[in-house]
Amino acid sequence: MPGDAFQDLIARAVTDAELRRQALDGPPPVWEDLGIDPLDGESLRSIDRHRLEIFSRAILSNRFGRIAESLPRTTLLLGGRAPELFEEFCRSHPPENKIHREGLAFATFLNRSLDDRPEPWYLPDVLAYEAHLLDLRFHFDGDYGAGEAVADPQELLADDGPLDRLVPRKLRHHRLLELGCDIEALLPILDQGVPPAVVEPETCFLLAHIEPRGTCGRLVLSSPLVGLYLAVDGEAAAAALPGNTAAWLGAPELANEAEFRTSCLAALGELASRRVVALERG
Amino acid sequence: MTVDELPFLGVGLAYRFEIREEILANSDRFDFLELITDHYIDMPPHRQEEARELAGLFPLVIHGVDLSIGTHRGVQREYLAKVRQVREWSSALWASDHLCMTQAHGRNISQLTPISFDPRTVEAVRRNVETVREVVDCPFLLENISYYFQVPPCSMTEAEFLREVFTRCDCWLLLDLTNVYNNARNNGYDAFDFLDHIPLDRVVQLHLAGGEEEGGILLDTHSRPIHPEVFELLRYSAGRMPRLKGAIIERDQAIPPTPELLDEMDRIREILAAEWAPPHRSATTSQLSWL
Repeated sequence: MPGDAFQDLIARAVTDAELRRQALDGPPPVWEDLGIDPLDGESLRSIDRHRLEIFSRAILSNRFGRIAESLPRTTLLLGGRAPELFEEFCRSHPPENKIHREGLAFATFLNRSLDDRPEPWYLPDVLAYEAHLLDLRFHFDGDYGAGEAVADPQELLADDGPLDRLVPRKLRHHRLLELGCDIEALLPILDQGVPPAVVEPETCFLLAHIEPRGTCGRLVLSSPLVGLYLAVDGEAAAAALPGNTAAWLGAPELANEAEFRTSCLAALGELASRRVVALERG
Repeated sequence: MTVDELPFLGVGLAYRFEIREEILANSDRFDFLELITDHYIDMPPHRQEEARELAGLFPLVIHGVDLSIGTHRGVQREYLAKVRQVREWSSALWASDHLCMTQAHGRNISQLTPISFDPRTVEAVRRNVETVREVVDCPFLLENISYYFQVPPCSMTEAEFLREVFTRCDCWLLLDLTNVYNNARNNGYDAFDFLDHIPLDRVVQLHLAGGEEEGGILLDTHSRPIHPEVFELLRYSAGRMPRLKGAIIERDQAIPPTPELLDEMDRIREILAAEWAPPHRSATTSQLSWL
C-alpha cells in the first residue's frame, strides 16, 4: 500500500535524475538495490513519465534560478559552462529549502570542481567574494551586532589619556578576504552583465562587513591597515596597536613616528565606525 | 478572530522585494499585500523590521511554501513556531500554505509537489491542519496547486478531494483560479464544471496569475499576465463565495511595469464589483470605493 514510503520515493524520484532513470527504466530487480518496495516501484511507473520529467526539470530550473540569484557574478563568469556544472551539482546535492543555502552548497561544490587553471583566472576570487558575503549575511546571530555596545570611537580616541585602558575587540559580522584582483573595480563592471576583456592580477585585501540593516559594506585595506586589523586581538590596548602594526609591517621604527601613530588611531576609528571593531574600556 | 469576523480586504499584490519601491510609491492602489512567510523565516533581522514596517502601511496576510501539509509523517512544529512569529511581526489577518508536499522524510523538494487524492491523504492533511491550528493562532487557508502528474493511489477526483479536505479540516480555501485553469487544461476537464463541484463557500482568498507552457503543459510560473480565461472563471464563480475576503495577483518573474499590474487589479475589482456581493456592508467594505 503506497503511503509514507511512497512519498519518500516521489521526493527522491523528482529530485534525483539517476534514481529516476534506474527506477523507471531498469528491470524491477533494481528496485531492491535502490531500497524501493516493489509495490511502490509499480506505482512510480504508473505515473506519466513525460509529466514527471517536466516537473523534475521545473525543480532544476528553480534551483538554477536560486543559484543565479545568490551568486550572480559567479554565474555570469561561468557562462555556458554553468548549466553543465549545475546539473553535476544537482546529481550529488538534493535541493535546499533556502536560496542562500543552495548558493553556499553550490559555492562549495564549485570550489572543489574548479581546476588549477580556472577560466577566467579571477573566477575563484569572485566566487570567494560572493560566497563569503552570502555566508556573512545569513550567518547572523540576533541582529548583526546592532545591539552590541560600541562606544563612540571619536570620543574615545580624542585624547591619549585612556588609550592604554582602551581595548579594541573584533565584532562578528565581517570578514577579511585576500584576493588576487582589484575586486572593488571589478564588481561594477560585472554588474553590467559583461565580463571585462582584461583583468590584471593585483593583491587586494578586502574587508567585507554587514551593517545592522543587512546591507553589505566593503573596505579595501592597505597593508598598514591589514596590519592594524590583525593587531586587534581583544587583548592589546589601543595604545599598543601602532607598535604592533609596525612590527607586522616589519618596520619597527614607524612605531615612534607621530604621523604613523595618528594614522593608526584614525584607521582604528574607521574600523570602529564600520562596526568591525568595538572599543571597550579595559 | 474568526473568518466571519475578518474584514473584506479588497484586491492586492503578492509582495516581492524587487518591486518594493513601486509598491510604496503606489501604496494607495494596493488594498492589501501578501508576504511569503518563508522570506521572513531564518532570515536576517532586517526582514523582521520590514514586515513590521509594511504592517504599518498595509493590511497583510502571509502565505507559506514550506509547510508540506500533505506529508503523511506530519508537519514540523518548529517551522510552525516560526510561522507564528512571522504572523506576529506582520500582524497578518490570516496565514496560508499549499495543499501539497514540499518535503518527505527530510528531503526537500523545493517545489509544490502533488499528493494522492485519497482518503488516507485527507486524513493526513486533517491531522496536520490540527497541528497547525494548535500553533498558529489565526484563520488558516490551504491553496489548490497546479499539479503536473497524479500521484497514485487516486480514488477521488481533485474536486472530491478538495470537498473532503475542506469539509473535514479546520481550514479555509485559498482558491487559485489560475491553478484551476492550468489543471483543467493539463488534465482535460472543464474548469467551470470543476468550480461547480468544489466548496466555494469555503473560499476566503483568491490567487490569480499567468504562466508559461512547456511540452504542452501549462506551468504555474507567475511570469505572464493573467490569462483571459482566468478572469472568466472569476466572473463565473465570484457570486458564490460569501466568505471571500480578498484577491491577490502573483507575479514572480518578468515583473511588468506597475501600471500593468494596477490594470489587472482594476479588472479584478470590476468583476468583483459586478458579480460579488458582500454578505454585509462593513466599515472596511465601505472604504473601498470600487465596491
